[in-house]
Amino acid sequence: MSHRPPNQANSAPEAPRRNLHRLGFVGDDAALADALKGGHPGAPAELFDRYGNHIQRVLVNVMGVDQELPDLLQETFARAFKNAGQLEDGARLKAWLTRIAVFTARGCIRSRGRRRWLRYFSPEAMPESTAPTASTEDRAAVRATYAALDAMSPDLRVPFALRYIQGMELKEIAAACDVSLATIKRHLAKADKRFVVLASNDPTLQHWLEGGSRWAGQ
Amino acid sequence: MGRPVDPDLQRKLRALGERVDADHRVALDQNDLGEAWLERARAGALATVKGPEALHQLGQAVARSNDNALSLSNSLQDVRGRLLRPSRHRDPPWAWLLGGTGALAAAAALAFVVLAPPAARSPLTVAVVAQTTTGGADLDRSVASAQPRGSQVAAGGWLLGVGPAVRFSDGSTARATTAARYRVAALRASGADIELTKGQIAVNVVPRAGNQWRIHAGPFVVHVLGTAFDVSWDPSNRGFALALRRGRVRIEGPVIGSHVLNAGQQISVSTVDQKFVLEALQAPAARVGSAHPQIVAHADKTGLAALPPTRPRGDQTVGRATAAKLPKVDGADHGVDHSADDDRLGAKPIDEAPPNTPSAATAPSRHRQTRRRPTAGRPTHTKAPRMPRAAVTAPTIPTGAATAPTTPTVAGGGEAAPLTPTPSVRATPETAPPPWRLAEQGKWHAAVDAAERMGWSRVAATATAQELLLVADAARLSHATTAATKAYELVRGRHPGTGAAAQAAFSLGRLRFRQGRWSDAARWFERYVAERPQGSLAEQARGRAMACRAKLGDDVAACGAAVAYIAHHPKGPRASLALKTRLRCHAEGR
Repeated sequence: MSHRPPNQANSAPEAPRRNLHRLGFVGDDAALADALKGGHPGAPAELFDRYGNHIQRVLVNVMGVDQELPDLLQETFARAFKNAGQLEDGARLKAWLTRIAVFTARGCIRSRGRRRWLRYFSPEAMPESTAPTASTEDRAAVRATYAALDAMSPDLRVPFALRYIQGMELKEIAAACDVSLATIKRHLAKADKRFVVLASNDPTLQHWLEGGSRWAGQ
Repeated sequence: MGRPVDPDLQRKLRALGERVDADHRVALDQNDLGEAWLERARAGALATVKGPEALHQLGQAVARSNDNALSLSNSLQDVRGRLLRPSRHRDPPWAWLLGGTGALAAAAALAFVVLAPPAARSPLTVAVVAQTTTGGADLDRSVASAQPRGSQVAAGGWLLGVGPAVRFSDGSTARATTAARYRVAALRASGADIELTKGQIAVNVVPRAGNQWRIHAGPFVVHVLGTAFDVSWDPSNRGFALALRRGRVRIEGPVIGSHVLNAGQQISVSTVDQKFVLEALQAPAARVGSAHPQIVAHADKTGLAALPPTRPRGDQTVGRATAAKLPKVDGADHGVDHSADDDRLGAKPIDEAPPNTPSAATAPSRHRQTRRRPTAGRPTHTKAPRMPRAAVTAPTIPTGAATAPTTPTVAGGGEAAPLTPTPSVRATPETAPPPWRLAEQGKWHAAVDAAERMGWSRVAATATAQELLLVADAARLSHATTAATKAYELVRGRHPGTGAAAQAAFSLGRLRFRQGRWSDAARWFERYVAERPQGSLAEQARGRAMACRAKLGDDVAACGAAVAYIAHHPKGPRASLALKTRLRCHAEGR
């Protein structure tokens, strides 16, 4: 007897499985969006399983490795579940979710900026911001990059991180930031300049930037 | 300093958009503006011209590191569990009344359980079962005197000298095995607190559910889970030692943070030297000569220490009496979750004591002969996890301050070797941090110097693959090309087939690339791709190999590399260059 996946719609009748508690969901993004709106019990789990990794990467690339990442991830999906009814085009589910993640991260950055003066009173140790398996060079680059990003405004930092670290296209970034393409180009140009200025004060980043152009030139 | 950049040229360069920087450089070089361009780029004036390629490379490195960090974290599953936890159904309004009544009843029941005196277990009592046999001349006798045999001891009374022993009502015992000063500081139904201010005591705790025994020895706290062990504290040199004969204990204190010790292990900690020694527990006969394998670790400058993961290998060299098999933990763990502690047990075992330590110097020659030399195929060391910062800054150890204990009788029967809470005697005399630690701190030049002083063969013999790679990276980044080459080759020679070896191949390619040795560079990059076709550096390796082949004028190989690059990285940062190469080959009929 052949084994069929339990979620297959046209599966032959089999003996009932007593341990099956949750109905799975099968379908494309549009169907998933409809299922979310309709309150399908398996839709939230499917949304998380489908895009959890992607959203986590977006958040970590914008924020850096941060203690608040799990909270931000949870906040993003909680908002998504809550506002699923506002999603108009189900086919753009991923972009919609990315936008929520970007806005969640931006909100966190802004609130940290407002609380920055409190740091004088709570000098707790900064968490290790890089993976222990990364190379020395990568670790130094990561630390320096996020130090520079911390000095940038959220409007510049977010597009910069999405463009160069997350590797998104300009149109995707514009959609994620909910601004026009022209605006995102303008922000990116400013972010590039700002970052290069900040990098000029950091030997690690200088090494990277010069190394990059030197390599390309050879 | 070149001429100022022509605004018209700037406009043209900006119009070029994201084309490869090579075009820009050629244009700039033709106008003799290289230096000016570089300076202005640093100031950000030409960020849009210079930026994309370098920024994309930097961004990729950051993303790679972030991905590594995410792969080590299980926050995704945690969040999934929190988010998708089954929610409660909304109850009908009348359920509030029932719910409230039920809650009140439950609270009342809980209060009764919590506040009512426990009927089954009353607080322990303790009695003196052995008197002092030898007075501790250096003990402060003004504090208290030895208690008469059989008398009940109230919590707080000090016991002095060698021999005084106490028995608790649950059958647990404590006995001073050297000139000691200790007391039962608190008695509870679930256990007791024993405070040791000097000397060594043998403790035997009877396993019971819910046991909460604590031994305070100086700044260390030993959490006992039903076990038998010897613990000592020497305030003169701030040395702590514990030998565990049975069961399992968790120790908290400076240098080591929190560490679970398993049966058959003993640990000595010097809070002065910020070092500790973890070794297999040995019978008295085997301790003579001390040729036993041991694990020596010491906190680095920041107070971060490493603990070993398992018992050291090579126990056979000291005979069967050295607890060659560590017994399983007896069933006294009682629901205490030590997974976090156990996870920290990754460490760097050092196979041999340093040659000039007393233990190695006095070792029988047979033991020296049976020691294995490090080979390429030996198991790699686990990377040491970070431990909490040590909280003690103590003065230097007065020499000769160690206690000279006699050979006592253990409360649980059998003869125990006296512990020597002077780990600084056995610990490595090298106080300078190892080269990989310096490299980790970003002190690249110092790391290379330290490696040169230590000798590369010794570095290779003692460092793990990742640590050796760290030192090699430090050498490369400090432009010590010869040293870097040697270190990378050592990584490849000693740890073949590992990720570190592949990374070393890539780095060797970079070194050769920087030197303009295109053929060698191409070979190393291609070797990396062969070893790690899906590796995190595969894209760069393929791109660089293609560039090297093009530099060499080997069009056929360059075309092949370009095809491979496009196949694997159609959207990679060098895809346009690969496509150009491919089209050129096609046009030339290759």
